[in-house]
Amino acid sequence: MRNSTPPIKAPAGSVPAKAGTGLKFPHVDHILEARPHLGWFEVHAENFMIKGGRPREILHEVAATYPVSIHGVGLSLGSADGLDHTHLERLANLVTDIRPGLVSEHLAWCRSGATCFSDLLPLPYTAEALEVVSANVSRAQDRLGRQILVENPSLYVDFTISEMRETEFLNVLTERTGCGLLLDVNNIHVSGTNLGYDPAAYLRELDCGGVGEIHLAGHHVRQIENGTILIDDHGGHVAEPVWHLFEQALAKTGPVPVQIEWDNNVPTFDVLAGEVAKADSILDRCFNAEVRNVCAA
Amino acid sequence: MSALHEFQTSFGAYLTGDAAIEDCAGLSSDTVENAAIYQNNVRHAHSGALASTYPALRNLIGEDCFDAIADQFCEASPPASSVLSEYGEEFPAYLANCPELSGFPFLPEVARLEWAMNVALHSPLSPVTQASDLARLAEAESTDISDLLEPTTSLQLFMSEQPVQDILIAALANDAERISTIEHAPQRLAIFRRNEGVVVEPLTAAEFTFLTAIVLGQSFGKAADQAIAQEPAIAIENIIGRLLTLGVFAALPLTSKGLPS
Repeated sequence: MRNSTPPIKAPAGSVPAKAGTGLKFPHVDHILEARPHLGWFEVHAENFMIKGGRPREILHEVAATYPVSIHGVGLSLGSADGLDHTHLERLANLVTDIRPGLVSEHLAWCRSGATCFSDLLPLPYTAEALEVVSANVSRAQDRLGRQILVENPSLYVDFTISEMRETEFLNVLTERTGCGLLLDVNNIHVSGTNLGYDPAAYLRELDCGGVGEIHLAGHHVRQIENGTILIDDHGGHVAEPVWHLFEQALAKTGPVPVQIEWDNNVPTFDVLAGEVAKADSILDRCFNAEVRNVCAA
Repeated sequence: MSALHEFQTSFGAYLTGDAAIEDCAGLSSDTVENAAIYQNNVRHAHSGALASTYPALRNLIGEDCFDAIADQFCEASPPASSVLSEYGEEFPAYLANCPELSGFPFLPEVARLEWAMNVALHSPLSPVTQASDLARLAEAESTDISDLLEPTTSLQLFMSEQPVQDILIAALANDAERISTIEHAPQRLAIFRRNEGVVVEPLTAAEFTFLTAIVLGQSFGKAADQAIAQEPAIAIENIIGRLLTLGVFAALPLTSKGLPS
């Protein structure tokens, strides 16, 4: 049963099924001057929420040339407290102002009481959590008047109290709320390694019909006493196993926009553009250009 | 309290160092040690936000010292919003009360200047009054402009007993030698948006007094009186001319003929 009327889909024609990357401040001057050939840019909503000011001006300038996706990290869809009204209103203001092709958030929480933790924190996959997240997603979509994509998280801890797998949680969430999915392939690999599940099985179990975007990123491999843990640090090149999993994911999702995330140790724009070109070459190999030029809905 | 609410409260307390991970029911013992990754992420995100806002201060006291003090501040005053460019307004006051920094009164002042620059950066860039606007008004023998002058939206006025701008410039350049030669002198500054950046302009005592009065909503006449009281020899038209050149007054509400609307 849905919690609310299915929202209107995001406006078509905005973000193509091509590779893009995050807009990083060290690259802004180059992007605005050289206008490099690139499919689209994604921005973290919270970096541009303040009305006025240079950051919002930059975003307007970029959005005038490139398709843009707004990716939130602070809405806290998993908060048992519900959504923060002020934050949702600021997000709505940004979305109305920029009119991005896609809007996305995370299957996570980052707020408890009056404290904001500024990290994407893990949720137990319980029926109660599903109710909470469904209600929060529906409220967000109702306020924004459009569909949002919800991203699968990278995880370092598991829960004894979880009642379902993440894939089942997401399948029910999309069915209940009409939200789409942002499939982070690196996160599947990271979480699968850390928690001991098979990423390929994850892809088989997930209903990928609602995937509206894919994320790729680098991770850090840390040796610990009992083995290895992967840290989703967005601080380097996409790892080979993730590229491989990406191709498997595309077979299920079809052509969708793909974003290279590189948020720490930000390289020169050329290095980032190289990763984007690699993702584009895989999209080229998997799908013909005519299909890919159809924009994501 | 629901089970989810209870978990988030206890895990949140763990993240801020107010509870042990053992207090968080529901975590698998196989992976519970990894919870420290989240704790580290939170600390890194918050101190990193302060480092972005206070780069000169970070250069002045060094990365390790900055991180240690930032961690203390973040633990005492965690952000209430995930818009982290708004986080850290109270950091300069925290530094002023920090025993480790008590012998360096210029450090909180540099931080205060960096916060003012941060506020200006996130303020709208709005049109400003040009000297030519006033010239057109004078030609039209219009009414005086006294009550039309208003500060531009991004303007921050800043006064310090420390040579804070000189220290900031040297710190951003990591120029320790230059810092050691800066002469102690108070500074009065105007901080505001210009084009794509933020500018910090030194003001004379009279300019600062005049502009402060305008910011406080006082009339042109009163502002001029206070500036002249500060520096009796000053010509008020010189103050206006300099401030117009800087671009610190919001555009006058003029008609297409250049007259007040």
